[in-house]
Amino acid sequence: MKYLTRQEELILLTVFHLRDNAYLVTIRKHLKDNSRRNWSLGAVYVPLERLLKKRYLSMNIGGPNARRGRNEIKYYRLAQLGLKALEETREIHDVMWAQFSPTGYKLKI
Amino acid sequence: MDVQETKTPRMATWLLRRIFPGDEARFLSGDIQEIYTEITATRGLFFACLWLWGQILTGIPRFIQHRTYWSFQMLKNYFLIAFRVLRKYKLFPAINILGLSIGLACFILIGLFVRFELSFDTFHKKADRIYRIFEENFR
Repeated sequence: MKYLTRQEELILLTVFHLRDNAYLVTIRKHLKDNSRRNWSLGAVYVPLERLLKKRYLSMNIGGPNARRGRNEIKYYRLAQLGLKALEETREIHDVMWAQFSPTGYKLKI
Repeated sequence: MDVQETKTPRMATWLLRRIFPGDEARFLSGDIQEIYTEITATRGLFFACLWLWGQILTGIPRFIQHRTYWSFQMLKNYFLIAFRVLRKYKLFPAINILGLSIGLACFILIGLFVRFELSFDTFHKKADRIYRIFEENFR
């Protein structure tokens, strides 16, 4: 499988985290709060759509909301491929990041 | 809560409907509406407008790139299939390609020849009405 980019990885993790409540607004809010960066709408929307097309995510449409002016909400969920990609990323991450600590590293010999 | 939202977003929803095909615009405009109401409630109408237009203007090149991304993917797919066919059945595509290239080469040569012939002595002002008559004698 190809590597997930950092953006895609973070987005997939948020979709996993916000189980049934993962749509653009909540995903963006979660990312802004936890990833210490400002995410514009395009920065969230475009990777989401790309992951959807690649079938890492699936979507379902539901529940128009009074606050949204009668438009339905598009909820995203992780699909089988997405779960596998996240698992693989986690395994690689665990191996590579094992015993990392910045304090023990000598910057000059 | 519902009353104030639809003022500025009307142009925004129109723009969204132009950029995105079909149903997508509705979902997006709903999301934008939600964030817009939230910002209006917390930081005021001015900041909300500022945010909205900032998002749309900086997002447009990205959205357009996203829309054309899939047409390039499709093109790449066609090339892949062409490669596979060529590799598997070497003779038939080769005949096709040979025939087409010979045809194209003939077309180009004939075109150049005609162009050459028609460009004879065009510096005369009424060149299209001047004819030269000559007579050949074979002895």
